[in-house]
Amino acid sequence: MKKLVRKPGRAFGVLLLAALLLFPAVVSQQFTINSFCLVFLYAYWASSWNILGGYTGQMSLGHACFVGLGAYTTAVLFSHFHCSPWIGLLAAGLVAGLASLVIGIPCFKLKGSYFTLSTVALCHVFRIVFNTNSTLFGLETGAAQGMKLPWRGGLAAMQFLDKRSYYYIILGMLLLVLLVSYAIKRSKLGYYLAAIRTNQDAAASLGVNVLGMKLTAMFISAFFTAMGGGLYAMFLQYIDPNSVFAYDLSVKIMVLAVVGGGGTLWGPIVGASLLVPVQQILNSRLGANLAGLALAVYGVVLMIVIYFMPKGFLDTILRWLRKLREKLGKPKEGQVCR
Amino acid sequence: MLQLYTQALIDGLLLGGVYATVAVGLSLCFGVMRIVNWAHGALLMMAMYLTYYLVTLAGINVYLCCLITGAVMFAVGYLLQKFLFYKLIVREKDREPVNVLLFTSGLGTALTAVALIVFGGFALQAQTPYTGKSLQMGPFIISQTKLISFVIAVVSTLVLFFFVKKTETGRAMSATSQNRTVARLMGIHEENIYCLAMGISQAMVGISASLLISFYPVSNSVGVLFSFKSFIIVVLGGKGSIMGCLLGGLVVGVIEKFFGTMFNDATSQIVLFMLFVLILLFKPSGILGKEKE
Repeated sequence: MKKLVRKPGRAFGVLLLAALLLFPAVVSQQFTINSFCLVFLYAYWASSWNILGGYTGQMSLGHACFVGLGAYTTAVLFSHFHCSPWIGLLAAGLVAGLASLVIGIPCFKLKGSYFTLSTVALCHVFRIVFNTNSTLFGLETGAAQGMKLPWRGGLAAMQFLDKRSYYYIILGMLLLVLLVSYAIKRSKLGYYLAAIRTNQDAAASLGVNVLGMKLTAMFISAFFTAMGGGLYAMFLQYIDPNSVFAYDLSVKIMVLAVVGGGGTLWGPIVGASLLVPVQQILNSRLGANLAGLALAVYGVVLMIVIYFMPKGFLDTILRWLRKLREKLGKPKEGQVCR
Repeated sequence: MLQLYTQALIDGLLLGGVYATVAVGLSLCFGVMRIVNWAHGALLMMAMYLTYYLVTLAGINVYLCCLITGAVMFAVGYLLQKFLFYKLIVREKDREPVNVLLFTSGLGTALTAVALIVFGGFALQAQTPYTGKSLQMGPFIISQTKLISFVIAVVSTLVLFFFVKKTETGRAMSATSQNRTVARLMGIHEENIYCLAMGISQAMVGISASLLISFYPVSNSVGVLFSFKSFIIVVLGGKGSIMGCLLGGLVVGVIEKFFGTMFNDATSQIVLFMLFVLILLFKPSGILGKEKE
């Protein structure tokens, strides 16, 4: 308890988590629960992206490709092989992870923008393939019309009428990815990744296996992103190539992480909890009339943040808090002196 | 059969010339400033809408519009560089300018979304006096709009090439791209050169927008599509090389038409991507590039 008092950040975290766990018990409105689920899911994706984009500094703009692969793997396993999504999610992660290695080996030959470009191009190709073929490897995927999942219901099938079940599953996965990110940051791997981000050539000359480390980061990142994709498929019960392999989705995932604070543990969470609700409100209020508005806001916010606070929102918020604490702290010290 | 593929070759070459003009601006930016402008396609889209309305509402000849859009986009590029990008570049000197990447991708996203709101989601096709007319050369049909566009595109790319190689300003640009510090020591004003390079890059975008609009419908998804193609062309031709860009554009145009004729559009996109990956794997410096990096 004393530790918690001494570290207000940690106390705040524990309180927030408790509040989030109790929240569905108090509020049962499906729309609110649904919104929270989406905030968690985007936070989860942004955190997964952060492992590659933030910690390693490899700006991927093709993470929708992993979302799509994950969603389709889970959906196909579920509808054609009667495989429980709990296993499907793991399979999704592995498929996307393997794909990320195949992509990574040629694409990591490039630095910076050209790596980013290759990820965009790849996602584009996946979208075309899924859009134009109604069967892939002999399995029906429904081309541009997408797939509707059959209803089986229950915990094993991960199909619930009450959205609150998804709330807890997604929250749990978000905690998991945060834990993994934290572990990576504290591990040897994390320091290697940070070295690569700061100066790749210097890291290589000190004996860091640059390609190996980048591939590891990409594998982990793709693995978790795809699990989120599988969850998304179960959450919506319907997927189509234009929504899961969308360039817009890749941009959103990246913007959330960068705006919050790329390369920090909490940045993606901050970004998602600030921006996803804005997107939800804009979509629900203006929706059909101004289809592109939410995305325009994302673009503009990204520009403003990069220009005025290159380290992201989190850094700025922390600096404000520090100033606040200094102001509050001063009179207390005076009292002690007397 | 042979006739069909020769027709595809002709169409591909004509289209490729225009693609090259779209991509050359991107290549120039990379060559001089080491930055990749992610808003390139979105700016092209805006210029295409501008031309569309100049042609439809004001009734100006579509090829004369080149001059207007070229000038307007030069100003846009110059100002963007002067007031936004330059500060970002200066802020991070040695590293790959990641912030510029993020900033321009934000700009591109915003522009694309705004275009959807303002102009709507449907594709607009400009009607020009040349639309639908074609020349018959033996068994082959050559679209008049594509032929005129091709000629203007190639001429303007060549003009740019000689500008960079032969004039004082152009050589100052090359010098800055080779070594910023030494160039500054030689008395070259870096900021001016950068603004000029971005201005010229966008002027080429403006010109190619007018050329494209004569045969290509504009919609808000054009931006992402052409960003993608331009990047492939720049990688094919070698980053920063103008002649490489011209060659890359022709290659991309021909591949697109060839595989489009043989299979379908989806296949041609996949083939382009495979080519892109193969080039990255085996000759990252591009077709004409020298092995340096």
